[in-house]
Amino acid sequence: MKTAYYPHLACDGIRKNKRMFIPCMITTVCMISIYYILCFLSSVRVSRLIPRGAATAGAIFSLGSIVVLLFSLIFLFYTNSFITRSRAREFGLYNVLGMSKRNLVRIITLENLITFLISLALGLTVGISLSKLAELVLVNMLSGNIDLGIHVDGRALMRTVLSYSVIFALIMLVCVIRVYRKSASELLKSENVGEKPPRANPLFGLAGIIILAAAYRIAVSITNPVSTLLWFFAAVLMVIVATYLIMISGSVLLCRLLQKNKRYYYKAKHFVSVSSMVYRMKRNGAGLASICIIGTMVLVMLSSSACLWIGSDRSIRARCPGEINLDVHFSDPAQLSEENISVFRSAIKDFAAGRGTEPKNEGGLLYIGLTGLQQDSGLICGYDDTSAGVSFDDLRNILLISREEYAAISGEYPELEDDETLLLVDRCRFEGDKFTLLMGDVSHDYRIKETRTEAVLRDSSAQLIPTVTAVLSDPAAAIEDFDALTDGSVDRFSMEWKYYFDTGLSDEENSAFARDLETALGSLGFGGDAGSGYHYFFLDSRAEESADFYASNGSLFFIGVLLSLVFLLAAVLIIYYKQLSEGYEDSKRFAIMQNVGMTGAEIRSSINSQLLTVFFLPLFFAGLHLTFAFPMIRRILTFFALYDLRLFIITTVVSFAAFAVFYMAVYKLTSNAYYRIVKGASKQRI
Amino acid sequence: MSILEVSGLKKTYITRLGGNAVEALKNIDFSVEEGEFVAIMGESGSGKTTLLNILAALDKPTAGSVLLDGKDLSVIPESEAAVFRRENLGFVFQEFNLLDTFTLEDNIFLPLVLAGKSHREMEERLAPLAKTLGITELLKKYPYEVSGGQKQRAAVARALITSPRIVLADEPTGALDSKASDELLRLFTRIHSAGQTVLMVTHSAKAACCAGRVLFIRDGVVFHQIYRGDSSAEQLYRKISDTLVILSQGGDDL
Repeated sequence: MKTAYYPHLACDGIRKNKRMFIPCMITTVCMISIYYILCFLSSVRVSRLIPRGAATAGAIFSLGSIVVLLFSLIFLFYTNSFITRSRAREFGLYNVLGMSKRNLVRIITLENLITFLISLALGLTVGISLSKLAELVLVNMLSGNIDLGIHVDGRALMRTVLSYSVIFALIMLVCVIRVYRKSASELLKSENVGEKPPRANPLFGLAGIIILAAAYRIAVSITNPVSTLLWFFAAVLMVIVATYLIMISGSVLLCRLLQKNKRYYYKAKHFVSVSSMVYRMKRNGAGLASICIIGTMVLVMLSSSACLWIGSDRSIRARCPGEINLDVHFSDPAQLSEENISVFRSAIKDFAAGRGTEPKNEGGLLYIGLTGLQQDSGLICGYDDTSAGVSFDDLRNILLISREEYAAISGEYPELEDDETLLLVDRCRFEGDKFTLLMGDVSHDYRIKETRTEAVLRDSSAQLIPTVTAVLSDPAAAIEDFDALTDGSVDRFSMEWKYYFDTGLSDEENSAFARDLETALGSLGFGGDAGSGYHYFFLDSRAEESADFYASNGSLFFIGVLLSLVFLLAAVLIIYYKQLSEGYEDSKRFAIMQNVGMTGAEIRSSINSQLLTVFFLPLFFAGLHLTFAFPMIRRILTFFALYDLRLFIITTVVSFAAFAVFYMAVYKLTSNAYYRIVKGASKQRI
Repeated sequence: MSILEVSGLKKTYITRLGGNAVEALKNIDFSVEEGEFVAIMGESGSGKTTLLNILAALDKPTAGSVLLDGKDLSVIPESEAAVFRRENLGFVFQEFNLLDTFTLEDNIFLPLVLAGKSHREMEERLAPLAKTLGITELLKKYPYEVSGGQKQRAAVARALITSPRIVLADEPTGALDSKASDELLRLFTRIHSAGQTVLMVTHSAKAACCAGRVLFIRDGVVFHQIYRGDSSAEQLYRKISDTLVILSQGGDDL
């Protein structure tokens, strides 16, 4: 009999508090299953199904699983402390009735053990059954080989069980310490503490607003993608701090100001809402801020990873304009000759013929590439690396091409004097009449005969830096002096021939084509004179590139969705607990008001206005944060070769809309729980 | 003229388990005249609270009627009951029932705010009332910052500020120490002498001594009543004590 007593009490405790335990268990189940799925996806067996980029995908999933684990830890601590806190009275009563702390701990341990074991069993069941689905979706996204067998990954299983057992043990420990540290009367009283009216520190509220404004300013004003990343983290930290300050202190301040306005305050509609909001914000400001931060995180993650994934195709096309792409680098201006290039051309043609095809949709450019600055005076120059403090916005890719090259692109052979140039600008404006090439002490000036807006390379819109192309009568001569200056090293400028074409072959054939062509070109014979040959070359096929690209972007998106799910669940639970605790607190208040003469309709409208404000504040702030983060995230996305502004706007708006709908649904569900509690209590008479 | 007329009042509860009917009030008849101070006494479970709930339009009687100024409370629909309470009744509770989120002043203003009065009018009404009750200095404080007696005085102010037809007080001294109780009872006496009709439910013989008439309820019926008449407080106290003794001994020969 005695041995069954504690399990009985524990089961009873869970049953009596099912309103708190069940949501917590559901969340734990979800987290465990998602963790298992991530471990499973990073396993060896799944990676074999992914065509290429399995290593990248695996790394992303392992990283994701660590994030989930950390988050689970933090989150389960939160829910657990909430549950123990709100049950302190119950424990206090047991204690007073003669149960020792040791006995209490025994009950708590049993309760936790039961909920944990149930959650773990359910979580693993759900995880295992959904892992197949996740695998199919992932493999399909990355266009890998579908395998229909169902597998349970033993290592993933072990990892999940071990990790969550550790978390559970840690939570238990904290729980036990908490119970031991409090005396019975403290436990009994702990629910009734803290009825002091909140006194907001105006400085904190003000600081919050200032920090937020500063963070927004950073987000909007930073244009240099290189420093964006660093500033982005700074801005994120600032926004987090500011959100907490504003939600906790700023909102109390606002309510206080409203209370000062007698005309506004002493209206039936505002009177009750404003005064109880002060309390509510003080107690729940932190929770609301957390919801807001989580919401923003989810939105950023979803919108950007979806954008990356959907925009993959365009990004790949920008990187690989043709199915096969060749990039030959030369080391001597003399090598920039049509003869050298025709050696490549004919070799490629012969090779293609051997595969029963020929280069189609060819394109290419022979050019000298420099990096330059566009300045107010309209001057462009190859700049020294000594020129520190260069603004990123002024950087330009400068291509020098010959009239013959230009004629090959446009069909027009421009008339140019030796000191004249035809300037082609792409994605930037240029108003000036002088073009200067400058390096060290050497400089060449050209008069700009004409400026046209024109792209010389296919899909160049994908470049991080805008391109300015100068058509010169003799580009090689223009850089001869520089060549001498730099000792023939090609650091300061490059001499390249870009060439791309389609083959009309399948992806696998193209990959093989590129591999074999690389070998074939490597053994090319050139004439023995000084201007013959090349420095080195790259050759790649779009098929190969896109597999890598899809593997990383696809798994990023996949994990983006899974992590969003975890965070959302957490947000939902925070909201739910908030509603529960507030419901219990408010019910007493509303009962009093009803006795004093507040009608049911008035109570309902007052509840509504409070719930709406408190609920939609985080959503509003999340939207605001997202809006201001937008320009910055866009810049960061350019690192991932994504430049499609429209697509990013669409994914952002869609993510926000989806989030808002989801949020509304949660609001409806949880506010029902709240109403039930308040209504139940107001039924009590005097 | 009777301000409140209770006749044939009956209230039956069905218990949740077993469906047994419990008669909380069997047959209550009494009336309260304008400007009268009536105390209702009875042991726990005698039906005092049920009676008060019905008088406050918080609960509906099973049978019988309650007329306030000739208007039948039981025909007031639930949706209008709150407005009716707000306009006609003032409440003082044992546990003060002040909202901890409001200052005392705002607590007192609550019924007026609900009635849509202007802030100026509220202040005009409060100033003399606060002076009478001796809480002018405390108005900006929060309930947790003041003593029980002070809280109860604020609650009285909240009950009086709407100039109700009748003040219903439920064990107003129940949660106060003897000094605060005495003070509060003096206050009730003063309010009453200013013409306010008061109906007070109480356990305490001392509190009941302030009333002009004391009704005793037992087992759901009015068992006995004592008029103060010309008797002194001490004489009244003795009469009440005697009745209480008889009540507790279960005798029914009065």
